[in-house]
Amino acid sequence: MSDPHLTIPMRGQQKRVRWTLVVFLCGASMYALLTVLRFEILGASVISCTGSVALAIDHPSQAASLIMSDLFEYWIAAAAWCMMPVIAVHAFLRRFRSASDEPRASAHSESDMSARTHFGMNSRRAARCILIAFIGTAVCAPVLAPLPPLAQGDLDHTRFLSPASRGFCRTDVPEFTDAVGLSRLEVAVHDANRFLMHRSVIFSASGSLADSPGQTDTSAGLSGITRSHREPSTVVFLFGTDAVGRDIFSRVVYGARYSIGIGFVVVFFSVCFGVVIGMAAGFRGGALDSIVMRTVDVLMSIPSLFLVLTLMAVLGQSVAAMIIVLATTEWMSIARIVRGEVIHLREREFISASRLLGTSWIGTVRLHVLPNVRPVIISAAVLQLGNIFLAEASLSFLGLGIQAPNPSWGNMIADSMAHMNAPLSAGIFPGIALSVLIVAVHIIGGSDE
Amino acid sequence: MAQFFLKRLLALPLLIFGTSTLIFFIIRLLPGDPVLLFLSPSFPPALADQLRHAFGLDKPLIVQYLLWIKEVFTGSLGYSFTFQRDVVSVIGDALPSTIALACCTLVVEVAAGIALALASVRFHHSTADRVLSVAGLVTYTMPTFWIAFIFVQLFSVRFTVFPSSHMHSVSADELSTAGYVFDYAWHMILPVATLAVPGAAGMARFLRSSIITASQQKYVTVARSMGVDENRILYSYILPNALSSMVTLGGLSLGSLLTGALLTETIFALPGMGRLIVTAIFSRDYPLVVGCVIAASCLYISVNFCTDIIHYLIDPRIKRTHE
Repeated sequence: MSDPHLTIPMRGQQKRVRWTLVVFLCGASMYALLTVLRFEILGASVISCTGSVALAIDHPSQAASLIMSDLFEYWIAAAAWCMMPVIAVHAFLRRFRSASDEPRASAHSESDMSARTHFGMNSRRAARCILIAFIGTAVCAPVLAPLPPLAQGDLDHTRFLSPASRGFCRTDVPEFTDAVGLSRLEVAVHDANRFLMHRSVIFSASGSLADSPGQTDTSAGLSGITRSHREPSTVVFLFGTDAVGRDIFSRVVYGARYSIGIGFVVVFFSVCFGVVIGMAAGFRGGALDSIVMRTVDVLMSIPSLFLVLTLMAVLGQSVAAMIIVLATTEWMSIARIVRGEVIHLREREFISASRLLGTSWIGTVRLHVLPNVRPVIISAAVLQLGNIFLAEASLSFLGLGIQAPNPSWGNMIADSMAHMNAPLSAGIFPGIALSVLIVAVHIIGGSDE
Repeated sequence: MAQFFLKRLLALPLLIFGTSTLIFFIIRLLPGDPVLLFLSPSFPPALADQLRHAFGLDKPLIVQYLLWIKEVFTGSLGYSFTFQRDVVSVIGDALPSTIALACCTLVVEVAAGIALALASVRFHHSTADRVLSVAGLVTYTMPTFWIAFIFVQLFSVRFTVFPSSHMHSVSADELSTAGYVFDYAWHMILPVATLAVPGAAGMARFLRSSIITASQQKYVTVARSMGVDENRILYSYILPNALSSMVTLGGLSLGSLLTGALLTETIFALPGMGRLIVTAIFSRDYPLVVGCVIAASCLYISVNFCTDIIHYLIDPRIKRTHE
């Protein structure tokens, strides 16, 4: 035990076990609290998800009326919410076991890394937790948001409320009068589906809810029905409300969907594209290499947002257009990095050996080159994720990305800047969310090395 | 020297040519008929054909391209629909404002970046360095428009110190020359600060790591063992080595500066290139969009050319590798 390297990681690992426990317990209590607070919508989602699928299998003729695309987001959220404890316990047990085992070989490199940079392994872990929390928020947004993101309160009382102010909220659900001759399960499933699809949330900061405008999630094709008026409950506008009385917290939660969704899809495409092109250019060399690299040079000599704006102007403003445009303007850096790595690798003996053994060049790339450049690709991809979050928010801020009533962090900040009498809270929370996400991504990607 | 210079100089027009060709084909090949966007749907189709003929849009693409190249060589980038003027003159009016903004920002950015990097190197491995590093990462990654939002909320809404928009006060024309300049500077403080904060943080991060890399070199150990004063080691041995790579970074940061200027000018209503391209895009003024992108790329390419040359001139190590 005289070797100092053997004792230092051990002490670090005891600390790690303690921290893992703390994080796990905090997460579990948050989870329990949210499950209780959002029980109504969570229960409805779970019943709707399981019941609809069961009934659809039982009576395939009714499948069309049971499986509706508007319900999918609730089903995914409910499934993710139910899976979360399983995943968390699994991850916790694995970490706990690996921490109490013999010190691993990687412990050395971890302590090396924290010595070199300010953001050691612990900040990296914290950053990873934050990113996972944001992804979870994006997936479970319908369950986490207390109010629908587009629902407006009355303009007299709910406009520009300060954070943590209270209001009243009533959820109305339409009721069908012909619900006879159905089994209990069928009634429960239809009730849950109706609740999720046609509920209208009415809220206000004042006590009178009767004449306030409500917002239905989807109210198409519903006539001849009576609404059940439930008892009003209190609701807390955690982050306050915006210019038309929408709950900012719910909008920030839903805004995570656009950022995270667009970010990951764009990075997936740009990495695929960049890796294929970079590999081909680096490995084949010659004319292909010069053509690709000159194209990259030309594309990179246009300031990025200018190119993005030009393409957006031509393609029009939609989520699909934004994904295409960002992917076509972001692949160059990945291609350049991959090409550089591949050119170095190409000269190594094991590549020549593989070629001599008669492996095709695609096989060589897949078996020997790709595994060697993977760490570089992952690091670059994570940093690119940060750029894309920023680009999406900037485009939405300029009014060229996610369009007005839909909540994106960028257009929420733009919205609050358009009203000079808006309180600080209207724009600061989306900005904090965006900033925290980007910083987390930069720490994970190791931009300070 | 001459060879290095010539190689870079030859690449310059090729890059600009490649960029403008690319932009031309992007605009022409992607879906969307510029004439139909220009006209309202109630116009008769014959008029659309007439306009298409007038703009030369009925010719084959390659002919259009050659004609466009010919026009570019005669110094014209087309006619702006919204401004009813030549695109070159519209851009010419907007360019000085953006260049002024970029230059002011670059000066502030470099000064603040060097100061912050020196401060964090001075207190290396201490709490102050840690705080500076964390704050640096946070501000470096902050979206430009969010910084602008905070500054406007803080300095224009809460405490009405600085104006939140425009380049001059309404009555600026009646002021004396000194007053005019002061008025301009007063209006530029918030935009420049907005742009300089993330830039300075990025510079400081980069410079800090290159100072630390340079201070691990053997010549520093030799100097220290010979008893040279620590300040002298830092300012005359380490800093010049670390600063030479800052020149390239300064050139590269112009790209992000132009992107940032696009947002800043939109927010603070400054009449520059950034706001011009946003206006052009919203009014679907394609010749102006193309002109703006080409002007921005030319600016970026030529600044990078200049930084390459400056880097070559001040860093003898590069000169040695090229000879």
